Amino acid sequence: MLGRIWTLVIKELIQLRRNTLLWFMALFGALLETALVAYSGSVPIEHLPLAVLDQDRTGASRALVVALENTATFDADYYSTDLDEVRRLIDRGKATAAVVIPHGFAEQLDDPLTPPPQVQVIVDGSDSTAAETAVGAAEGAVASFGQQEVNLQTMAFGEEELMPLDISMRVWFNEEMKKSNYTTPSEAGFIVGAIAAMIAAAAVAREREMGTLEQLMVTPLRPMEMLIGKAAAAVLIGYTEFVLVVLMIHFVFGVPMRGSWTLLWVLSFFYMLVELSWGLLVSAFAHNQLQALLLVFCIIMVMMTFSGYAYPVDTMPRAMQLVSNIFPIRHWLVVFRSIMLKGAGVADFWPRLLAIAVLGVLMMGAAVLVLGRKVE
Amino acid sequence: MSVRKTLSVMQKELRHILRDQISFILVTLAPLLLLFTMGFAFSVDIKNVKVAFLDRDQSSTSRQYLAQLESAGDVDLSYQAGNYRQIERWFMADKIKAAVIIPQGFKDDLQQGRTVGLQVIIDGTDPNTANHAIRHVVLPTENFAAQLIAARSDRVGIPLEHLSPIDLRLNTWYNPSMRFAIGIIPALVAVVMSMPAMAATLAITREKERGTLEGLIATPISRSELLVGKLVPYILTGMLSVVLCVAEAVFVFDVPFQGNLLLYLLLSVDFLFASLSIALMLSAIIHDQQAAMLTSMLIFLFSGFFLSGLLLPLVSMGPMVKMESLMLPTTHFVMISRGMFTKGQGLDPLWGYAVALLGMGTLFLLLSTLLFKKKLS
Repeated sequence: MLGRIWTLVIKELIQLRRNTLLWFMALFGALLETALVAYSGSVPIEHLPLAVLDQDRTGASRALVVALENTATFDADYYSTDLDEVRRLIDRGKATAAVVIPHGFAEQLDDPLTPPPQVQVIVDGSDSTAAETAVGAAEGAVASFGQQEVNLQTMAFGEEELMPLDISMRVWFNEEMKKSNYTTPSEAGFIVGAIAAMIAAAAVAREREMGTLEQLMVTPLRPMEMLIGKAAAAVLIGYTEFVLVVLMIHFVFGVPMRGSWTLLWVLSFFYMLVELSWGLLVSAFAHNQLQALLLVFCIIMVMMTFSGYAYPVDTMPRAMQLVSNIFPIRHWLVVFRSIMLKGAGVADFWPRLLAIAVLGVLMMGAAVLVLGRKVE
Repeated sequence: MSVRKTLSVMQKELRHILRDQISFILVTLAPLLLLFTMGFAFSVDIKNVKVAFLDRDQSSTSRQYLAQLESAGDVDLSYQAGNYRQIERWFMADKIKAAVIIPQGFKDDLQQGRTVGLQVIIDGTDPNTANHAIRHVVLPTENFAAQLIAARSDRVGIPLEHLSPIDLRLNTWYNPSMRFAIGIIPALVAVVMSMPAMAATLAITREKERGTLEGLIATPISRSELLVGKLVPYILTGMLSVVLCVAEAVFVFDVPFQGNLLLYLLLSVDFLFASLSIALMLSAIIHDQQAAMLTSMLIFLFSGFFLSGLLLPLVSMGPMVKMESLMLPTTHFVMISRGMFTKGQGLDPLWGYAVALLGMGTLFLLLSTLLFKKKLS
């Protein structure tokens, strides 16, 4: 059996060597893409253009604008004179947010007897991520600006301690809450898994489309052996790619490695095999390469959804969370991040590993069944 | 270029598309399905953060605080830890996202007017979830503190208003309830519409690989007729999916469409023209389908998802990435789709994107005519 598989592996590798464009794109194209995506994802959301309508024009109102700018989230790019102009700027998408400081802001702020001054912040809600960031930053900046004023005013009283609770907040595992520590492992796991699945998906579909599958069928190869042999090229490219990408996110993007390298290399090889089963399953189903491509495209988009890159899976509806479990990437990313960021070991995440293994067996089994039926 | 010859190529290509029913269904219906999955997965606004607590005080005040935390924040407080080690283990196994540790003497210290240290631990692995946890744990805690401050400030004699000296009014325009669906679905429509381009990348490569291109070479059809004939059927199937996707966004996800529908359809043709021209150019220069698939995946799928401004606003991208994303048709269509769906923009603020798409389409169609060699290799 091993001998037969080996022969097929050799055939696949010879074909792969001839296809220079394929491995060039798979290795360097994907590496470049990961670098670009990782680079774009690692910068925080900042420099959102802010329109300022300052009707007060005092030191205090200018200080508030500076406080907003100091969050780095906003760049005060536009100074308007009336509300219509602010509306136009936001309508046209030139400004993401606007702050309206009313006349008498400084007076009301200084005078303890008047009600607190009203500051209006307008946010363009058409882009969720930008809007959420803008709201958070504006709330934070205004609150801390206000807090400084309070401290100045209450200093005079300070007999009894005013603050009853001293909340000490600590963030574990990703102390600076660096976005790239979370997003780059997602991107790496995802892009590499997707490429491996894509190459595997084309494998059998290609032979079927070209009519060479019949030649393979007359050999003593069994469906199972054929699938394993067919996966060889995808394993080789996928794994090399994974090693390169992991080294890149560690050395270039500074994602810490707190766990064991050996564990990561071993488990990632195992994950690669499971992710390939998706491709092989598609390949067994598809009649031609176009169908294989379109099916893999769908699977990859859904994989992306459940990778938690855009939105944490824990917050999705129950039904979606259940569905997410049939995608190996859902489990793998927990394992991957736990090793790199938390330094966790097998004892911490064995249920996830078990889930990946079960999925691998199921998908591979289904692929063998489908292919076996088609061969007959 | 003869219209009749182009039409006959179109007819042939359309027949190819329709004959392979599985592919036809995939090309037209997959965008709908993807929009549904992603829209549904992304559009939940109710979140329960799993928070563990370690109550070392076990007093009426600590219980009162925890009850308030549970009712005010969106948290699931079902993890009661007996000791610190247990909290560490839960963090490691990814069971909890945050933990609150109430110190001994919580009640006594508060009653005697001393400041009490309360520890909050957050799992920072995913900054999104972490920020969410901070909001839902720290804010209710601060509210609890504010009630205590109110009691104290009465004693000291500071008017309470001074504790929040600015009255901040936040308005979110176009999406006042900050519904995630409104912010993301119009952009997702643009991203899932890469499907026709993915399929078109194989359009010529397939004929090369199967050897049927030789048959076409023998006909008097010119290169441009062949390419335009290949392009138009994909625009037609693409339009079908655009209409279905808009209907899905409006009727299933309840995202209002504020703009002019006719203009939107016209601009989607513009977008399909640009993305399909790029696909045809790839198809003209790549000789085998496997490599073509991989290339189209890198260009349309990954860049479309990560760099099109779907998740990250374009303004905060670095100059290199920004340049790359502006070269993608999807980026421009994301802008158009968002502007028209939620803001009801007309051609006036959007004409720049429309012209860019038209330019890209023309440029790449010309390039593919130049690069496509209608002869045997």
